[in-house]
Amino acid sequence: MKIEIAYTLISIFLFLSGLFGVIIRKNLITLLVSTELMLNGVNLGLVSMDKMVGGVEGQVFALFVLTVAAAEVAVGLGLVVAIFRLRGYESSSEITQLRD
Amino acid sequence: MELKDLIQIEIPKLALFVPELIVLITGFVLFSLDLIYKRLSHTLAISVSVIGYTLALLYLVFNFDLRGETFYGLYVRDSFSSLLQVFMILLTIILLAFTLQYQRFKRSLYGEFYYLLSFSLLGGMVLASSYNLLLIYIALEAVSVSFYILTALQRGDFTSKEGAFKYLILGGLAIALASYGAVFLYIYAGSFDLRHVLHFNAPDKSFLILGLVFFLFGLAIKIGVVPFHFWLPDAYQGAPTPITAYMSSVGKIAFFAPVLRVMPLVQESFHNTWVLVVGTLAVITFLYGNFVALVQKDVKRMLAYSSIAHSGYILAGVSVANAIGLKAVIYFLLAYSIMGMLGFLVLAVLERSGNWENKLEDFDGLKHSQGFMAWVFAIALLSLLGIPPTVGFLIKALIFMSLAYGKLWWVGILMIVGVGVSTGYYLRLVVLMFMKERERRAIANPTGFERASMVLMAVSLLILGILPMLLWNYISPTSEMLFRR
Repeated sequence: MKIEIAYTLISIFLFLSGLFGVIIRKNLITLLVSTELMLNGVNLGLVSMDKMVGGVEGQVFALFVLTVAAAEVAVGLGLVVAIFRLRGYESSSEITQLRD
Repeated sequence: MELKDLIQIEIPKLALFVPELIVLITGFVLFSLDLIYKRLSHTLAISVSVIGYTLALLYLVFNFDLRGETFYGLYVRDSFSSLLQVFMILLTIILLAFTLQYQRFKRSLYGEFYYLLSFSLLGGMVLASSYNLLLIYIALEAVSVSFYILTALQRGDFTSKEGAFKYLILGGLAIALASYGAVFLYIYAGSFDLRHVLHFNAPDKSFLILGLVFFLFGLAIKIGVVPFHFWLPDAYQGAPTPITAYMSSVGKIAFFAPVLRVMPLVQESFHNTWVLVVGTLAVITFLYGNFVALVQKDVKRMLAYSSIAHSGYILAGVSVANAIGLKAVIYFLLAYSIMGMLGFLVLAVLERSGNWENKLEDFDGLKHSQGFMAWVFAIALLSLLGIPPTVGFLIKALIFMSLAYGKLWWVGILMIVGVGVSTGYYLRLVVLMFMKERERRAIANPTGFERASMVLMAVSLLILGILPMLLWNYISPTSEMLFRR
């Protein structure tokens, strides 16, 4: 098997495990980690596609994804801290005050 | 070989980018002011933002014919981007008239509000004027991350944090899907430029379709299309009301802009897939949005569902991938941004009266206690419903005409059903305000600025409905230009 194909498969696996994490998990931190896992799958895919296509744009994109994901997770952790302060750690996974 | 030939870098034409630069500098100035002063005076922050946005707006209006590309093809300025940017900046200026009083009453908007507003406006402006997936990604994140923080700005209120967290998780999912779509498009054409990708003709189109589906589903989550809408009512209800107004108008224009850039580039070979996928999403969206809005007791949440339904109507126009569909969609998007914003801003003013909870009962006999607000809200609601003198009728008729032209009868008929259902909740609210006799508690008076902005928006809803040519003369060449790309 060519090495690019193997990396692409790993990237798809990372992306899908992040997706299932977002859908199934309840814990707030795990949810955040799952979204980051998806973005890392995207990064790996971009870089391995670069190897396949023979360009550099994908690696530039991957750098931007890394930077912006850091900003997003900082906001997410800030929100988690705010939620923990208002509700306490134990009941934080049941955030269902808003519903129909 | 000369070094100059080796590195062929030209200086970007900054003249095309001046409005964005002004908004960016305004954001930095507000940021520095917030750092320097411990308690930033809101009047100062509002005046600085209004001056900055007005300068950007004036530059845009006086150089409306500015065309061209800069930053090595990353950034495109054409009439589409100028038109959308004019509306975004205007609506942001109008919004600022409402923040001061809201902040005084709720103690919820801090100094961060002002610079986050300008950063998200900048993101929206860039989003309206790029074909490059890299720039679209960055602008999308600039808008979204600002929105997450803005949603959570209500102090000590748990619903605000909850809405923001749901928005953050689903927004992260959306951005991951969209960028995985970018990966597939990159495999297909070896480029991130959407024009290049969609005009590229390879025998095997599976990667193109896969990539487009991922990219559009990512954007669909941001817009709030129905299978992925869960965050939208929660975030809209939890956010401070002026910010809800902002998200439902400027945010909607910004997130729809890349979709409208993709739509004219749809090729003959996957036209049917496009119609089927987008048309189905549109039908599910407006039917679900209208039916669920019927049972809401909370008016803010009801307007959030009506916003979902209107996304559905816009998508119905998008599914007709021809010039008529695009004209109707641009008109709809711009007109909806005014209606949606007006609806939420009325709530933002009414919330200032004591123990007001946005419930349906609170609106009983509003005409007697606050006639002005009742009339403005009635115009906004009738326009959202689509009663003839207002613009709401015109835009729905335009979408229906373009659906008929594209022979998409199933979408058109279901759309009429959706509009019929929506009569239930819009008219109920109007009846409550005008027919009920019971006098409610004292209502907060709007200030002069607020009155003026609301009158301006309500009148523009009527004028755009009676004299559509005012806007149509700009939209029509724009959409034909997009189809020549």
